[in-house]
Amino acid sequence: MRPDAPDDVLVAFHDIDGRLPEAFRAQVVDDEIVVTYMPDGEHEDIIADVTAQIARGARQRMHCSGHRGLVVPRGRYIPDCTVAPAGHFRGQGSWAPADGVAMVIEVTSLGGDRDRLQKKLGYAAAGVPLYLLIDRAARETTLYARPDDGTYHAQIREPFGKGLDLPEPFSFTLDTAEFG
Amino acid sequence: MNDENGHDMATPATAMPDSAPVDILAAFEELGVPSGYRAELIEGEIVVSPPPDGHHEQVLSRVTKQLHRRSATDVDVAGTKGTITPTGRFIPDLATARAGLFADAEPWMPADGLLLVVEVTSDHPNRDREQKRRGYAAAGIPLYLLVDRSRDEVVLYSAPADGDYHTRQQQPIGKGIELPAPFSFTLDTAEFG
Repeated sequence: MRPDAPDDVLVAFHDIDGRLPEAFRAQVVDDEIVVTYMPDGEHEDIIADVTAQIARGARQRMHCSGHRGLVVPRGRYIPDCTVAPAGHFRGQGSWAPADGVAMVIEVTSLGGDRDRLQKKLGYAAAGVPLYLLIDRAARETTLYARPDDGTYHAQIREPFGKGLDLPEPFSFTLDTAEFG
Repeated sequence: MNDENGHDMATPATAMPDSAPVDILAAFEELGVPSGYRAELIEGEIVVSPPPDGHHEQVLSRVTKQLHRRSATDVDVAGTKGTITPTGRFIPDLATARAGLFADAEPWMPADGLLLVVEVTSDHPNRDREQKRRGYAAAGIPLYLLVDRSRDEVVLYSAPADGDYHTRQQQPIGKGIELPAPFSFTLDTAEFG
């Protein structure tokens, strides 16, 4: 681990990010720059399903975005879906701290270990209260909660098909039957 | 990865990179990276990593020295050789081939003729343990030596077939590990720690 590296990596990241064609997204995860291509259709279908359920079921009015850049310790992440109270995103630049975000969602692709391990730590370190991981390889959904000291201290895991209870401020049961 | 009838073969680890390759490959080839950084295409993602720490280089230097001094066959060792594998375009920390093979090689060369590749883990050990192991095996590289600094061990993978290595020898860092023919010597790892 190199405490002096991140600044250099960020300079390189912004340089590369600024030159990438639109279909690509660049992130920084643990001092590496990762460039990914547009996801497959099933990935987007799952995100659309979750987004619709949040719009219908959440007790508090929430907005979901697939294009939010989050500044987290040791990283620059773009979650598959960032969920925040309506109006939260207004006025933010391309990259913003995670303060005020209610939940982030990742749907695994290849490289699922990044979502399972590294990004989980990054979201916890940034204090994002809820991280919903939809793991297509393991066919299960995990909700991580209670971030403190760089780790999530609570988790609920359900296989695809079983409902998963989302706590406040969502307060509804997420239907995972259509995930896979 | 497709079989001879053009059907998608089952393993998810190798199925996707080839289904989205044209655009990501084009982006990869056009992507300039800052000096000292290396860009690799790994299972459909471009990964750009910063220059490694000094200890990483010291371990490689020790391996290189022994390969030159002790190998039974005269080999050349390359530190930044672009290698095309079925699951991506990798830059092994070290690539080893019979003397002369690199002379006419393109910047990105097929893995044919490589005898041994070496990776020393950094911040993302799972990439070397999993994705790169699968890629080197799929490319048919006979030997893959992984110096796993976070587990304090050295692993030699051999007998590649069907996308993975089927033999694995492992020693704690500090113990010697036997490199088979054409190297035929015991690699001393005492100074890796």
